[in-house]
Amino acid sequence: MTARRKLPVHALTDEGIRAAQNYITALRDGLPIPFPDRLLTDPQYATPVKPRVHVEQRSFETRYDAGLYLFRILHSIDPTQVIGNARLWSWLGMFYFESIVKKDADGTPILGSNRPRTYIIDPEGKVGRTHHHRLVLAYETYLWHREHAWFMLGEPVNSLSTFTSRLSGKQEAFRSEGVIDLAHRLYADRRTRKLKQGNYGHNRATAPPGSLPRLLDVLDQLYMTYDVYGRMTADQILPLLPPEFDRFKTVAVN
Amino acid sequence: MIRRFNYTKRQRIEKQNTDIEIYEAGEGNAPSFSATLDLNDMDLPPDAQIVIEAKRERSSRRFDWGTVASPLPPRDTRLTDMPPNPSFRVMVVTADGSGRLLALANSIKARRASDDGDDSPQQDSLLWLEPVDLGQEVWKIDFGVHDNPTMQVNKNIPDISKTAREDQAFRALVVPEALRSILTRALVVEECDPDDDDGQWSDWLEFIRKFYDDKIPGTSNDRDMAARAKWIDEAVEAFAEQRFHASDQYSTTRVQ
Repeated sequence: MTARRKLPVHALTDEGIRAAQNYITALRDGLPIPFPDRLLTDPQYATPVKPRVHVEQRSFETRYDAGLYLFRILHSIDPTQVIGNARLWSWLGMFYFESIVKKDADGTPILGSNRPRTYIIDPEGKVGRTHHHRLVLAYETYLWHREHAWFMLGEPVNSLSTFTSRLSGKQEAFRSEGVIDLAHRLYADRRTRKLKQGNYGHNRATAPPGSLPRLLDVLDQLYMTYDVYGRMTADQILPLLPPEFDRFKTVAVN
Repeated sequence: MIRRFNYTKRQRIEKQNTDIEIYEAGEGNAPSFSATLDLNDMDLPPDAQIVIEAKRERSSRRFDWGTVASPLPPRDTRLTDMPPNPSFRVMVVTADGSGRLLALANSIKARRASDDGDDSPQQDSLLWLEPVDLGQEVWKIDFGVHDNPTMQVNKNIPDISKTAREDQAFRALVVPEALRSILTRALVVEECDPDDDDGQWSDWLEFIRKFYDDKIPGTSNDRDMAARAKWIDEAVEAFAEQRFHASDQYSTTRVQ
């Protein structure tokens, strides 16, 4: 691929998705095959989306860089045609593959632990799991929350922390302004620009008191009594949280 | 254990006072829905806000629906980025800005405008049927997340939806096990509160109580949980014997 290449945004066809999956599988298996460039423009593999918008090949350091760029580029397309559009995001995943794939010191893509869903979305696959796609996550985080979600946007675009994965994986929480602000106040440290210690347990059963998995459980309980994923603000939800969150709350208030 | 107390005096919206219909929009387009709500007999402030949520697995979409005095559907009710067969939740939220729910209906099933009687869920059925690619599995119960249990059947098997609905031998073998799986999920895995009338599992427990009304044990300790597991076995046994006649269904089919 050539640097700074510019193409109209496309959507992969069924054959394009298969070709992309085959390419990633081959790379993962260590086969040194060239990038199948034709799948980006050959009508057999991809069709242009309307209205026609162009994207430029570039590298993204953080999720913020990718989210802001894609938000600006895709703003002329009805968001309902963008969100959840598996074929469009699969094309973008391949167009920016070189920029978003993790590589080792020799420049070899690291795909061992990454599944194709990081770059391609199966149109027949489970809906609602698209947050694993690196560019979908970047775009939607910026789309819904802009800079308020800096603690999620500041991560490298080619990685996905457990914290971000869990928070973005619960759609109603992820799309709620109040809940993201709440997570920000509880777990993000403005001073260090990092997440606080103890924000996450490795599994639900052993999640530390006040950690993110516990917050999501408590929100589900409050959900029976309050519209917590709706217009409630972080200020309104904070006093409803049980004392286990106090250790994070205290810091949040100060 | 997740215990829910109705300390805010939240009212229950009866499901028969809700009518939600999904409209398919053709290949590649998200379906949309309409909703008719009858809140006339409820004691609700006219300015309270109505919100309808569609939920399935990890996906959810919210739709502001006007107020109690003036329900106003949004222009766009497309169920974008949502798996098929979502369930719906109707909330009436106080207008004072506190976010408190005044009334609630959970797990509402939608009718389908283009219901061809084959693969669509039946509105009155507790257990929905959904043909999906299950590889080499024939069926399984999909729980999603805070969702209605759905019986998924392998769409690669010819006539599997018809078989699941009509074949007595299949149903005799599968339905009691499906019920056991659902009760185990509700009472053991999620440790639901059996007294929660508005909870996710309330419809299922109400159904069970029609033929098995022994008190459901608590969840204070391991002994309680073992008692719950025993309660589930007895409930499924009562279902198979009094309601479903599973063994008879199976034997009759085998003789034929």
